[in-house]
Amino acid sequence: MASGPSLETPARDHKALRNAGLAALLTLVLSIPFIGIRLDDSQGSNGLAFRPQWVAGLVVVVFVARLVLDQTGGLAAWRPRFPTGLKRGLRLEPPVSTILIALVLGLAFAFPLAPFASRYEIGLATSFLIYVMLGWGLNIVVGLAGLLDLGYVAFYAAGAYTFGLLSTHFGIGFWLALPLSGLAAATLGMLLGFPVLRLRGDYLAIVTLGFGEIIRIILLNWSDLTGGPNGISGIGRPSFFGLPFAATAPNGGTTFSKLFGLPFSPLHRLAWLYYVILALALLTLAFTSRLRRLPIGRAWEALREDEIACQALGLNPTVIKLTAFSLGAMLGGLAGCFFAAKQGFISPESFTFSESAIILAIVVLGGMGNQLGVVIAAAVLVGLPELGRSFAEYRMLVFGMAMVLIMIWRPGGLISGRSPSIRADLSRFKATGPEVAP
Amino acid sequence: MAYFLQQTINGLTLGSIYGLIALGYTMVYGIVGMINFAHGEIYMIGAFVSLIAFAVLGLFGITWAPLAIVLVLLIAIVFTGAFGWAVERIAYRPLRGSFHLAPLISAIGMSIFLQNYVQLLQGARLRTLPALVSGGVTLFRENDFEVRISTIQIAIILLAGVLMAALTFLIEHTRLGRSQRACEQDMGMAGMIGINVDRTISLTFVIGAALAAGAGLMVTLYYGSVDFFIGFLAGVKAFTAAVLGGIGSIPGAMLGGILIGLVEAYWGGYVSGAYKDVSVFAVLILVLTVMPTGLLGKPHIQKV
Amino acid sequence: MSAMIAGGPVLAVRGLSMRFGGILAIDNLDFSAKTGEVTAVIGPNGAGKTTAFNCVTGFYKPTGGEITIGDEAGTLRIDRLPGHKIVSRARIARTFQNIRLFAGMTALENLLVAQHQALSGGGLLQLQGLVGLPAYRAAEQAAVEKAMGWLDRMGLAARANDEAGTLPYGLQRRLEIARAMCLDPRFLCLDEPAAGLNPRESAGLGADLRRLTEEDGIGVLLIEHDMSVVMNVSDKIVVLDYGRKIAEGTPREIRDNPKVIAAYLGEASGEAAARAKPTERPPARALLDIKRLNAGYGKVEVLHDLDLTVNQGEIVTLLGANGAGKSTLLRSLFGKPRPSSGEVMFGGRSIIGLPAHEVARLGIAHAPEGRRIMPKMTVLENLQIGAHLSDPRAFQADADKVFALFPRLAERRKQRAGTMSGGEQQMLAIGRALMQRPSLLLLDEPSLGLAPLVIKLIFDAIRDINETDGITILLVEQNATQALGIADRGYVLQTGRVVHAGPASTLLDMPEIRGAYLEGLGAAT
Repeated sequence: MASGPSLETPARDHKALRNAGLAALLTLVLSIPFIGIRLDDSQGSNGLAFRPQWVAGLVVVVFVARLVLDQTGGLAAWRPRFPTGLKRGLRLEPPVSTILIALVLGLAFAFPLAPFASRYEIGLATSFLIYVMLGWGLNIVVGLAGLLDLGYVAFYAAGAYTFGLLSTHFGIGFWLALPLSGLAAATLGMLLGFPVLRLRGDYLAIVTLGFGEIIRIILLNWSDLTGGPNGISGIGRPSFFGLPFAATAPNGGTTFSKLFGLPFSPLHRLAWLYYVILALALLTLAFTSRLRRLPIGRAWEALREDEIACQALGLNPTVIKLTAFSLGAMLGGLAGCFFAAKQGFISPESFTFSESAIILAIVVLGGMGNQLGVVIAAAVLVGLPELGRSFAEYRMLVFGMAMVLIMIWRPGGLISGRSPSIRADLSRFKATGPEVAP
Repeated sequence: MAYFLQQTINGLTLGSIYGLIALGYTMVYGIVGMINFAHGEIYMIGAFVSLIAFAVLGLFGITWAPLAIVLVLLIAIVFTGAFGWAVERIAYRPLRGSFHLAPLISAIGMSIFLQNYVQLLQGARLRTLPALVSGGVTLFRENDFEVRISTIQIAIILLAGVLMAALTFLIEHTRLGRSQRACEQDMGMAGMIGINVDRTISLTFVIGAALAAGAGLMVTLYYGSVDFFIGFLAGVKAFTAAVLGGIGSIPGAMLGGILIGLVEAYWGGYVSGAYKDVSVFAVLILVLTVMPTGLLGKPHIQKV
Repeated sequence: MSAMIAGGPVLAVRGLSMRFGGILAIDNLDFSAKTGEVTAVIGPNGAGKTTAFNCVTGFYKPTGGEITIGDEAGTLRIDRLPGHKIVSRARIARTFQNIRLFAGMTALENLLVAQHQALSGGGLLQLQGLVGLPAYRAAEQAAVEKAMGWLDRMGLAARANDEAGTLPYGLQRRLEIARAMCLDPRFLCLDEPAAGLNPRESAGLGADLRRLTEEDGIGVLLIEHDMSVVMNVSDKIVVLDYGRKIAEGTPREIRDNPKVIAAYLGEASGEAAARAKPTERPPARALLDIKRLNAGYGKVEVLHDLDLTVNQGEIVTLLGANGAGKSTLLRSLFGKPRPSSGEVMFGGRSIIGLPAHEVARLGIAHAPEGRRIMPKMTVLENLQIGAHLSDPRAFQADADKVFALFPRLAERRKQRAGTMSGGEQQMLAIGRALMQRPSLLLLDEPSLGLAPLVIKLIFDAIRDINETDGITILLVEQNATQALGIADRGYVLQTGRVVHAGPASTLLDMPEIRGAYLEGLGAAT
C-alpha cells in the first residue's frame, strides 16, 4: 500500500502522454488538408501552397494543452463559469428596471440626433434593429413554441417581395403595404405550416428548410414576376406621413425638409428609416411580451415542454403550432417589407439559407425565448465586423462554433432565465404553508 | 426514347453519388436518432481533399488515372474520416441526453463552421480539376441523338457499387456491423452485452464520412470543379434520398439515392432545368408529410 | 361501498381489445366505473393496465370494442373522439405514470394551461386580452382563483410561483392531480400516483382521493401497485392478467380470491416446494457484495441503504412487489441508474462508475426484464452479439451448449428474433447471456407473461445452468413460489429496502412474504 503512489504516478503520466499524443496526432491529420496545404491557383492551374509551420505549431499547442488539461482535471472541469446573475435571468425590480428601460429608450430615440451619428452609424443601427426584430419574431416559433424553423427567411422574403411588387406595379406606398406584407407572410405561414406541423421536431426543421429553398428558387426563376436574379428595383421609399424625403417634391408639393424649414439632407431619410424600424421592433417586443402572458403564449411554452401532456389537457397541438408559425411569419413579413423599403432594391440573394441560419444563431445564442438575449446576440453579430476586417471574415466561423459550444455548455443560451408569465399573490397563503416532504 | 435513356444514365450517375452520401445520414440516424446536418459539409471536405490530393500526387508525377484515383480515394477516406470522427466527438457526443433539438442545432452550427473554415483557408472561388478521365462509349444512335455513357460515369457507378457492396458486407457479416445493428436496436442492452457503445457510434460516423469522401471524389471527377458551398445542396438532396428510402434503412438509402438522381435528371430533362432542385425539395416535403417511414422504413410507435 | 350518486354518469368499457403488431395487449375487456367511487385496476406487470388507460383517455384507438360515457342525457362513444376532444366532450382527465408536468413553467402556469379552453374563449377573449380589455382580465382573474384553490387544496399554494420541475417529487405528483382537476373532469384517471412516494405521502394521497370522490363527486380510475393504497381507497377493484379481466369486486372479495393470489404469487405447486434445495451449503466466497447502496432516477430514490450478498455458486432470488426496486437494483450494477452512494464489489473489485460494457467484460451477464433481444436479428446473430467479448473460436461450442439447453432455439436459428413467441424470446435472452460466459447471471422476471409449461422449462434450465456450469445466479421474480423452489437464499424487498432475508426454505414458509406482495392483504388478514 505504501508503494501505491510511486507505482501509480508513472502509469498516470503514461496515460496523460498517450492522450496528448493521440490528440496531437488527430490535430495533425485534421490540419494537413486545409491548414497545411492550400490550393493556390494564382499561377493558372492548381498550384499548391504549403504551410507546415502552421500545422507544426497547432500540433504542439494541442499536445501541451491536452497535457495541461489532464493535470487540471480533464475536459469536464474545463467549462466556462458564467456569472450567477445570468443564470437566474436578469431580474431587475421595478424602480431600477423602469429607469433602465427609460434610459435605453431615450438613448435609442436620441441616437440619430447625436453629432457622431453619420450615414454609416445610422445604417448600422438600422440593420441591427432589423436583426433584433427578426430574432424576436423567430423567437416565438423557436424559443416559445419549440419548433425549429430553418426556413424563416422565406417569410422575410415574402414580406419584401409583397411590398416590392405592390410598389412597382401599383404604386402602393409603404404604410399601406406594411400590413399587407405581414398578412401575406402570415398566410404563407399558414399554408406551409398546415401540412407539416404534425411532423416531429427534426423533420419539421428539414421541411421548413426545404420550403425556404423552394421559395428562393421560385424567386430566382420566375423572372416575369420577380425579375429573377436581377430582383426588383425602384421600390418606393417610406414617406413622412405623405411627405417625401427629397430636395424638391416631384409634383411641386411640399417635402419633409420644406415643411420643417430644414436644409435638405439625405440623413433625414435615413434617420426616419431608423425611427420606423425602431417603432416596428418595439411593437414586436410589446406584441410578443403580451402574447406570452396570454393563454396562447402559455400553450406555446407548454407544447415545447411536453406535447403529450398538452393533448391530455385538451389542447389541439396543430392549431397552437399554427398560430405560433403564422404569427412568427407575420413579424418576418413586416421586417421584410421594411427591408425592401430601406434598400429600394431586393433580389433572391438576400434570402438564402445563410440568412435563416444567422437569425437562428441569434435566437439560439441569445437564449431561446429570451428577448434581451436576442438583442445582445444581434449586437454582437452586427458589431463584430466593425472591429476589423478579419473579424468580418471570421464572423460566421465564430458563430458556427459558438452554436456548438452553447449547446454543450448552456443549452438555454447566454441568458437563459425565464420569468413566469404570471405571478400569484401569495400573501394569503403564507400562513398555511405546505408540509414539505423531508 | 434515346433522350430518356440518356437522362436515365445521367440520373443513375447522380443517384450513385447521392446514395453514398445518404448512407451516412441513414446510418447515423439509425444509431443515434439525429440528423447529422453537417454531413453535407463532410462530403464537401471529401471533395476538397480529393482535389488537393490530386494536386499533390501531380507533384510526385503520379498522373496515371486508375492509380491516382485509387490513391486519392484512400487519402480522402483517411482525412475525411478524421473529420467525421472529430465532428461526432466535439459536437454530438457531449449532447447525448440533452434536450431533443440540441444535437440538430449543434449540427447546424458545425455545418456553418466547417463551411466557413474551408472558405477561409481555401478561398471562396470555384476550384477546378483538369479532366483526368475522358472518352466514353456510344451505346446507340437515334436520328441525330447519340446515347453516350462516359468512362467517368461508368467509373462512378462501379465505384459506388463496390463501396455499397463493401458496406453491406460490413454491416451484415462483421463483428463491427453486428455491434452497429445491436446499438441501433437497443443501445442500453448492447452496452450490457459488452459492446462499447461510444466507440461503435464513433466508427459509424467515420464510415459515413468515408462513404461521403468517395462521393466527394466522384463529384470532383464528374464535374471537375468544387467550391466550399457544394455540401449544402448535396446534403439536403442526400437527406431526401435517405428519407425517401426510409431513414435508418441501408438498402433504402441506396434506393432513395438512385430515385432522387433519376427524379432530378428527368425533371431537369423534361420539365424545367431551372426548377430541378425544386423537384427534390418537393419530394422531401411530400415524403415527410405523406409517408414519413419512406419506402423501406419501419413505422415509429409513439410511447405515452 | 360509498354512497352512490343516483343517475351519475357511468364510464363503461365493453369488449375492449388492443393489438400491437402480433401482440394482443388487451383481450375482450369489460368493466365500468361510476362517479363518486374509486375504481382500481390492478394486475402484474404487463397485464395491460396502462394500455387500457391509454384507450380510455384517447391516446390509443382501440382495435375492438367500445368505450362509452353515459348519463340521463345520453351516451357518448369515447373511442370515436379525437384525442384532444376527450377532455372537453367526455370530461375525462388523466395523469401519467412518469409525471408529465411542464417542468420549466411555474405551478400556477401549469394549472392555467389546463384552463386554456375557458380562457381563450374561441380566440375572441384572447384578442381582448391582447389589447388589454377588462373582460379578459376578469376571466384571467377567475382562472387564477380556481387554480389557487386547487393548489391550496393540494397543499401547494405557497409554491405557486415555483417552477414545477424544481418541486420535490411528492409535490409534483400532487401538482399533476391539481392540474387535471382544473379541467373539471367527471372522471380522473391516475396512473400509479403513489409510485415513488414514501408511506406517509401515500397515506396522504389516499385521503385526497377519498375526498375527491366523496366531496367533489368525481369518479377516480386508479392504476396502482401499492396495495395499501388500493385496498384502503377503492370501492371496486378490477384485476387484469395477460390483458384479460380475471376478477372484479370489493377489496374484501379480491383479497380472498385465489385467482388473484395466484396471479401475483404464482401457483403454489407442491412439486416446486418439495424440490427446494437443502438450505445449508459450505460457506463460499462472496461473488457480489453490495453495501449501503442508494440509487434512483432523478429525484426519485428507489433503493435505500440496501445490503445484499451473492456467494459463488448460489442461486439467490430477489422478491417483492412491483416497484420495490428489484429491477433497479440489477440495472444499477451496470450504472443505469448510477448509484448515488454505497459500495458494489464484484469478484473483489469495485464496479461502481464503470461503463456497462466494462461490467460485462468482468463477467456479469443480464437477461433483463422484457427480454430485450435484438428483434431484427436472427437467433444466431443474437447469440453472436452475445459472444461479442468471447473468443470467436469457442463460439460453435458455446452455441451448441445453448442449443442443447433450449432445443427450440436450434430449430429457429435463422428466424428473426422479433417474430418468435414470448417463451422462445426468453430462452434466447438467457442463451445470449450465456454466450458471454458470465460468472454471474442476472435474470429479471424470466417467467413474465409465459404459460406454466414454458415457465417450468425455463426454471429447469436455470437450475441446470447453475448446477452443471457452476454459474452464480441472481434471480428477480414475482412468481415467489417458483423462485424460492430453486433458490438457495432469498431477499424480500419493499420500497427499496430489504425487509426479509434468509434461506429459501425458510422464506417459503413465511406468511409475511405474501404480505410483501399484497401488502393490504397481509395487514387485513
